[in-house]
Amino acid sequence: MHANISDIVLDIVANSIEADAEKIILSIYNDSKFLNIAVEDDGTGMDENTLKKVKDPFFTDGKKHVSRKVGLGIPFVIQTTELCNGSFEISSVLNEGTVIKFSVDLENIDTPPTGDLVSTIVMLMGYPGQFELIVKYKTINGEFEISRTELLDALGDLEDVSSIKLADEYITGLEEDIK
Amino acid sequence: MAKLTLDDLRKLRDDKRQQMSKRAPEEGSAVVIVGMGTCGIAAGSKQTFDAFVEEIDSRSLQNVVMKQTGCMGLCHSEPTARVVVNGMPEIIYGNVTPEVARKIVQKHIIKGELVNDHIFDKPAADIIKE
Repeated sequence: MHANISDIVLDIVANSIEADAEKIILSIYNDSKFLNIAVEDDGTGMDENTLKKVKDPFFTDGKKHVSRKVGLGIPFVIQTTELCNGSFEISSVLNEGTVIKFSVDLENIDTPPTGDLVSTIVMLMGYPGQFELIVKYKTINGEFEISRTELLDALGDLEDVSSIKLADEYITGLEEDIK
Repeated sequence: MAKLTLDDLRKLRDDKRQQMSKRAPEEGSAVVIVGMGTCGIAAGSKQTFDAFVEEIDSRSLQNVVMKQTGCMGLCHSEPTARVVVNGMPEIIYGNVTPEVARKIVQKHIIKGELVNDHIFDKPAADIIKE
Protein backbone atom coordinates (compact mmCIF):
# COMPACT_ATOMS: atom_id res chain seq x y z
CA MET A 1 0.00 0.00 0.00
CA HIS A 2 1.02 3.62 -0.30
CA ALA A 3 2.96 5.21 2.54
CA ASN A 4 0.76 8.27 2.88
CA ILE A 5 -2.53 9.80 1.74
CA SER A 6 -0.82 12.22 -0.65
CA ASP A 7 0.61 9.26 -2.57
CA ILE A 8 -2.92 7.86 -2.97
CA VAL A 9 -4.12 11.22 -4.30
CA LEU A 10 -1.21 11.31 -6.76
CA ASP A 11 -2.05 7.81 -8.00
CA ILE A 12 -5.80 8.37 -8.35
CA VAL A 13 -5.54 11.70 -10.17
CA ALA A 14 -2.88 10.20 -12.49
CA ASN A 15 -5.54 7.59 -13.38
CA SER A 16 -7.87 10.40 -14.48
CA ILE A 17 -5.14 11.95 -16.62
CA GLU A 18 -4.37 8.59 -18.21
CA ALA A 19 -8.11 8.11 -18.85
CA ASP A 20 -7.89 11.10 -21.23
CA ALA A 21 -9.85 13.43 -18.96
CA GLU A 22 -10.09 17.01 -20.17
CA LYS A 23 -11.29 18.32 -16.84
CA ILE A 24 -10.49 16.93 -13.41
CA ILE A 25 -11.69 18.34 -10.11
CA LEU A 26 -9.72 17.35 -7.01
CA SER A 27 -11.52 18.32 -3.81
CA ILE A 28 -9.73 18.12 -0.49
CA TYR A 29 -11.68 18.79 2.69
CA ASN A 30 -9.99 18.48 6.05
CA ASP A 31 -12.68 18.90 8.72
CA SER A 32 -10.14 18.11 11.50
CA LYS A 33 -11.77 14.74 12.17
CA PHE A 34 -11.70 13.31 8.65
CA LEU A 35 -9.68 14.03 5.54
CA ASN A 36 -12.13 13.79 2.63
CA ILE A 37 -10.87 13.47 -0.92
CA ALA A 38 -12.92 13.50 -4.12
CA VAL A 39 -11.63 13.14 -7.68
CA GLU A 40 -14.07 13.77 -10.46
CA ASP A 41 -13.14 13.46 -14.14
CA ASP A 42 -14.67 13.48 -17.58
CA GLY A 43 -12.38 10.74 -18.90
CA THR A 44 -13.23 7.50 -20.65
CA GLY A 45 -15.14 6.06 -17.67
CA MET A 46 -15.99 2.37 -17.29
CA ASP A 47 -18.95 0.10 -17.87
CA GLU A 48 -20.55 -1.70 -14.93
CA ASN A 49 -18.59 -4.87 -15.50
CA THR A 50 -15.19 -3.13 -15.52
CA LEU A 51 -16.20 -1.04 -12.51
CA LYS A 52 -16.70 -4.21 -10.46
CA LYS A 53 -13.31 -5.55 -11.50
CA VAL A 54 -11.21 -2.47 -10.63
CA LYS A 55 -11.48 -3.38 -6.96
CA ASP A 56 -9.63 -6.61 -7.76
CA PRO A 57 -5.83 -6.20 -7.40
CA PHE A 58 -5.33 -8.82 -10.11
CA PHE A 59 -7.28 -6.90 -12.73
CA THR A 60 -5.99 -4.30 -15.18
CA ASP A 61 -7.30 -3.14 -18.56
CA GLY A 62 -4.27 -4.80 -20.16
CA LYS A 63 -3.40 -1.82 -22.35
CA LYS A 64 -0.19 -0.73 -20.69
CA HIS A 65 1.24 -4.16 -19.96
CA VAL A 66 -0.35 -6.66 -22.24
CA SER A 67 0.73 -9.77 -20.37
CA ARG A 68 0.55 -8.47 -16.81
CA LYS A 69 -2.35 -9.01 -14.46
CA VAL A 70 -2.03 -6.51 -11.65
CA GLY A 71 -3.78 -3.21 -11.04
CA LEU A 72 -3.09 -1.94 -7.56
CA GLY A 73 -4.17 1.71 -7.64
CA ILE A 74 -7.80 1.39 -6.52
CA PRO A 75 -7.16 -1.67 -4.27
CA PHE A 76 -4.58 0.41 -2.37
CA VAL A 77 -7.21 3.10 -1.66
CA ILE A 78 -9.70 0.49 -0.47
CA GLN A 79 -7.11 -1.25 1.69
CA THR A 80 -6.10 2.01 3.35
CA THR A 81 -9.65 3.21 4.04
CA GLU A 82 -10.67 -0.20 5.43
CA LEU A 83 -7.73 -0.13 7.82
CA CYS A 84 -8.60 3.14 9.46
CA ASN A 85 -12.35 3.65 9.74
CA GLY A 86 -12.48 5.47 6.43
CA SER A 87 -14.84 5.24 3.49
CA PHE A 88 -14.54 4.61 -0.24
CA GLU A 89 -16.93 4.96 -3.14
CA ILE A 90 -16.53 4.89 -6.88
CA SER A 91 -19.01 5.56 -9.64
CA SER A 92 -18.39 5.63 -13.35
CA VAL A 93 -20.24 5.95 -16.64
CA LEU A 94 -18.61 4.73 -19.83
CA ASN A 95 -17.56 7.67 -22.05
CA GLU A 96 -18.70 10.18 -19.44
CA GLY A 97 -16.27 9.94 -16.56
CA THR A 98 -15.49 8.63 -13.10
CA VAL A 99 -15.94 9.93 -9.56
CA ILE A 100 -13.91 8.53 -6.67
CA LYS A 101 -14.51 9.67 -3.11
CA PHE A 102 -12.68 8.47 -0.05
CA SER A 103 -12.05 9.59 3.48
CA VAL A 104 -9.71 8.66 6.30
CA ASP A 105 -10.21 9.14 10.02
CA LEU A 106 -7.42 11.49 11.10
CA GLU A 107 -7.70 10.36 14.71
CA ASN A 108 -7.41 6.66 13.98
CA ILE A 109 -4.05 5.22 14.94
CA ASP A 110 -3.92 3.12 11.76
CA THR A 111 -4.37 6.10 9.42
CA PRO A 112 -1.20 6.73 7.42
CA PRO A 113 0.28 10.24 7.58
CA THR A 114 -1.27 12.81 5.24
CA GLY A 115 2.06 13.50 3.54
CA ASP A 116 2.87 16.60 1.55
CA LEU A 117 -0.35 17.62 -0.22
CA VAL A 118 1.19 20.80 -1.61
CA SER A 119 4.01 19.10 -3.52
CA THR A 120 1.50 16.46 -4.65
CA ILE A 121 -0.67 19.22 -6.15
CA VAL A 122 2.38 20.76 -7.83
CA MET A 123 3.38 17.40 -9.33
CA LEU A 124 -0.14 16.78 -10.65
CA MET A 125 -0.28 20.26 -12.16
CA GLY A 126 3.00 19.47 -13.93
CA TYR A 127 1.97 16.04 -15.24
CA PRO A 128 2.36 16.03 -19.04
CA GLY A 129 -0.77 16.31 -21.17
CA GLN A 130 -3.55 18.65 -22.13
CA PHE A 131 -6.03 18.73 -19.29
CA GLU A 132 -7.56 21.12 -16.83
CA LEU A 133 -7.10 20.33 -13.15
CA ILE A 134 -9.01 22.32 -10.58
CA VAL A 135 -8.01 21.85 -6.96
CA LYS A 136 -10.46 22.89 -4.26
CA TYR A 137 -8.85 22.75 -0.83
CA LYS A 138 -10.96 23.42 2.23
CA THR A 139 -10.44 23.24 5.99
CA ILE A 140 -12.52 24.48 8.91
CA ASN A 141 -10.58 27.76 8.67
CA GLY A 142 -11.15 28.58 5.02
CA GLU A 143 -10.71 27.42 1.47
CA PHE A 144 -8.92 28.15 -1.78
CA GLU A 145 -9.20 27.06 -5.37
CA ILE A 146 -6.51 26.89 -8.00
CA SER A 147 -6.59 25.80 -11.63
CA ARG A 148 -3.85 24.35 -13.80
CA THR A 149 -4.65 26.92 -16.50
CA GLU A 150 -3.98 29.91 -14.23
CA LEU A 151 -0.84 28.34 -12.77
CA LEU A 152 0.60 27.49 -16.20
CA ASP A 153 -0.40 30.94 -17.45
CA ALA A 154 1.64 32.53 -14.65
CA LEU A 155 4.62 30.17 -14.79
CA GLY A 156 4.82 29.12 -18.44
CA ASP A 157 5.46 25.48 -17.58
CA LEU A 158 5.96 23.24 -14.60
CA GLU A 159 8.88 21.20 -15.86
CA ASP A 160 11.53 23.75 -15.10
CA VAL A 161 12.86 23.30 -11.55
CA SER A 162 12.59 27.01 -10.72
CA SER A 163 8.91 26.98 -11.81
CA ILE A 164 8.25 23.90 -9.67
CA LYS A 165 9.78 25.66 -6.64
CA LEU A 166 7.76 28.84 -7.28
CA ALA A 167 4.51 26.87 -7.61
CA ASP A 168 5.31 25.04 -4.37
CA GLU A 169 5.95 28.32 -2.57
CA TYR A 170 2.72 29.82 -3.93
CA ILE A 171 0.49 26.90 -2.93
CA THR A 172 2.25 26.57 0.45
CA GLY A 173 1.23 30.20 1.08
CA LEU A 174 -2.38 29.43 0.19
CA GLU A 175 -2.37 26.37 2.48
CA GLU A 176 -0.84 28.30 5.40
CA ASP A 177 -3.81 30.68 5.34
CA ILE A 178 -6.35 27.94 5.94
CA LYS A 179 -4.43 25.74 8.38
CA MET B 1 8.16 35.67 3.46
CA ALA B 2 4.89 37.30 2.46
CA LYS B 3 2.33 35.16 0.65
CA LEU B 4 2.81 35.04 -3.11
CA THR B 5 0.09 35.97 -5.58
CA LEU B 6 -0.25 34.78 -9.18
CA ASP B 7 1.07 38.19 -10.31
CA ASP B 8 4.14 37.73 -8.12
CA LEU B 9 4.66 34.33 -9.73
CA ARG B 10 4.49 35.88 -13.19
CA LYS B 11 7.07 38.50 -12.24
CA LEU B 12 9.45 36.06 -10.55
CA ARG B 13 9.18 33.76 -13.53
CA ASP B 14 10.05 36.61 -15.91
CA ASP B 15 13.06 37.52 -13.77
CA LYS B 16 14.28 33.90 -13.90
CA ARG B 17 13.82 33.83 -17.67
CA GLN B 18 15.93 36.93 -18.10
CA GLN B 19 18.69 35.45 -15.95
CA MET B 20 18.57 32.23 -17.96
CA SER B 21 18.72 33.94 -21.33
CA LYS B 22 21.93 35.63 -20.25
CA ARG B 23 23.58 32.27 -19.70
CA ALA B 24 25.61 30.63 -22.41
CA PRO B 25 23.69 27.86 -24.19
CA GLU B 26 26.67 25.46 -24.24
CA GLU B 27 26.04 24.48 -20.63
CA GLY B 28 24.14 21.50 -21.99
CA SER B 29 20.65 20.44 -21.16
CA ALA B 30 19.28 17.50 -19.21
CA VAL B 31 15.90 15.85 -18.89
CA VAL B 32 15.00 13.70 -15.90
CA ILE B 33 11.84 11.60 -16.21
CA VAL B 34 10.62 9.91 -13.04
CA GLY B 35 8.26 6.91 -13.27
CA MET B 36 5.08 7.73 -11.35
CA GLY B 37 2.99 4.60 -11.82
CA THR B 38 1.36 2.92 -8.84
CA CYS B 39 4.52 0.81 -8.45
CA GLY B 40 6.75 3.88 -8.48
CA ILE B 41 4.61 5.81 -6.01
CA ALA B 42 4.47 2.82 -3.64
CA ALA B 43 8.27 2.62 -3.72
CA GLY B 44 8.63 6.30 -2.90
CA SER B 45 9.05 7.96 -6.31
CA LYS B 46 7.49 11.18 -5.04
CA GLN B 47 10.34 11.57 -2.55
CA THR B 48 12.74 10.77 -5.41
CA PHE B 49 11.18 13.47 -7.59
CA ASP B 50 11.37 15.97 -4.71
CA ALA B 51 15.02 15.03 -4.09
CA PHE B 52 15.90 15.71 -7.76
CA VAL B 53 14.14 19.09 -7.58
CA GLU B 54 15.90 20.04 -4.33
CA GLU B 55 19.35 18.95 -5.50
CA ILE B 56 19.03 20.68 -8.89
CA ASP B 57 17.69 23.82 -7.24
CA SER B 58 20.32 23.92 -4.48
CA ARG B 59 23.07 23.70 -7.11
CA SER B 60 21.34 26.37 -9.22
CA LEU B 61 21.50 24.16 -12.30
CA GLN B 62 19.78 25.70 -15.31
CA ASN B 63 18.46 23.81 -18.33
CA VAL B 64 17.33 20.76 -16.38
CA VAL B 65 13.79 19.68 -17.13
CA MET B 66 11.83 17.44 -14.74
CA LYS B 67 9.12 15.24 -16.23
CA GLN B 68 6.87 12.45 -14.97
CA THR B 69 5.71 9.34 -16.75
CA GLY B 70 3.76 6.19 -15.92
CA CYS B 71 5.22 2.77 -15.19
CA MET B 72 8.20 1.79 -17.37
CA GLY B 73 7.64 -1.89 -16.62
CA LEU B 74 10.50 -2.15 -14.15
CA CYS B 75 8.19 -2.46 -11.14
CA HIS B 76 10.74 -4.65 -9.34
CA SER B 77 13.28 -1.82 -9.33
CA GLU B 78 11.22 1.26 -8.56
CA PRO B 79 11.67 4.14 -8.17
CA THR B 80 12.98 4.53 -11.72
CA ALA B 81 14.29 7.59 -13.49
CA ARG B 82 15.26 8.07 -17.12
CA VAL B 83 18.06 10.57 -17.55
CA VAL B 84 18.80 12.20 -20.89
CA VAL B 85 21.86 14.42 -21.04
CA ASN B 86 23.30 15.90 -24.23
CA GLY B 87 26.26 13.87 -25.46
CA MET B 88 25.65 10.93 -23.12
CA PRO B 89 23.81 7.64 -23.54
CA GLU B 90 20.20 7.69 -22.42
CA ILE B 91 20.00 5.78 -19.15
CA ILE B 92 17.18 4.33 -17.10
CA TYR B 93 18.21 4.12 -13.48
CA GLY B 94 16.47 1.78 -11.02
CA ASN B 95 16.17 1.75 -7.23
CA VAL B 96 16.53 5.51 -7.26
CA THR B 97 16.11 6.46 -3.62
CA PRO B 98 16.43 10.18 -2.77
CA GLU B 99 20.09 9.52 -1.99
CA VAL B 100 20.68 7.93 -5.41
CA ALA B 101 18.78 10.83 -7.02
CA ARG B 102 21.24 13.29 -5.48
CA LYS B 103 24.13 11.11 -6.69
CA ILE B 104 22.70 11.11 -10.23
CA VAL B 105 22.59 14.92 -10.20
CA GLN B 106 26.14 15.18 -8.86
CA LYS B 107 27.70 12.50 -11.08
CA HIS B 108 25.62 12.04 -14.23
CA ILE B 109 24.25 15.54 -14.78
CA ILE B 110 27.15 17.63 -13.47
CA LYS B 111 30.23 15.46 -14.11
CA GLY B 112 29.01 13.36 -17.01
CA GLU B 113 29.75 10.04 -15.25
CA LEU B 114 27.29 7.16 -15.00
CA VAL B 115 26.04 5.88 -11.64
CA ASN B 116 26.97 2.28 -12.35
CA ASP B 117 25.09 0.30 -9.71
CA HIS B 118 21.67 1.47 -10.81
CA ILE B 119 21.65 1.19 -14.60
CA PHE B 120 18.92 -0.48 -16.68
CA ASP B 121 19.39 0.07 -20.38
CA LYS B 122 15.75 0.27 -21.48
CA PRO B 123 12.13 -0.17 -20.32
CA ALA B 124 10.87 -3.73 -19.74
CA ALA B 125 10.52 -5.71 -23.00
CA ASP B 126 6.75 -6.18 -22.63
CA ILE B 127 5.94 -2.49 -22.60
CA ILE B 128 8.05 -1.33 -25.55
CA LYS B 129 5.75 -0.53 -28.47
CA GLU B 130 7.05 -1.85 -31.78
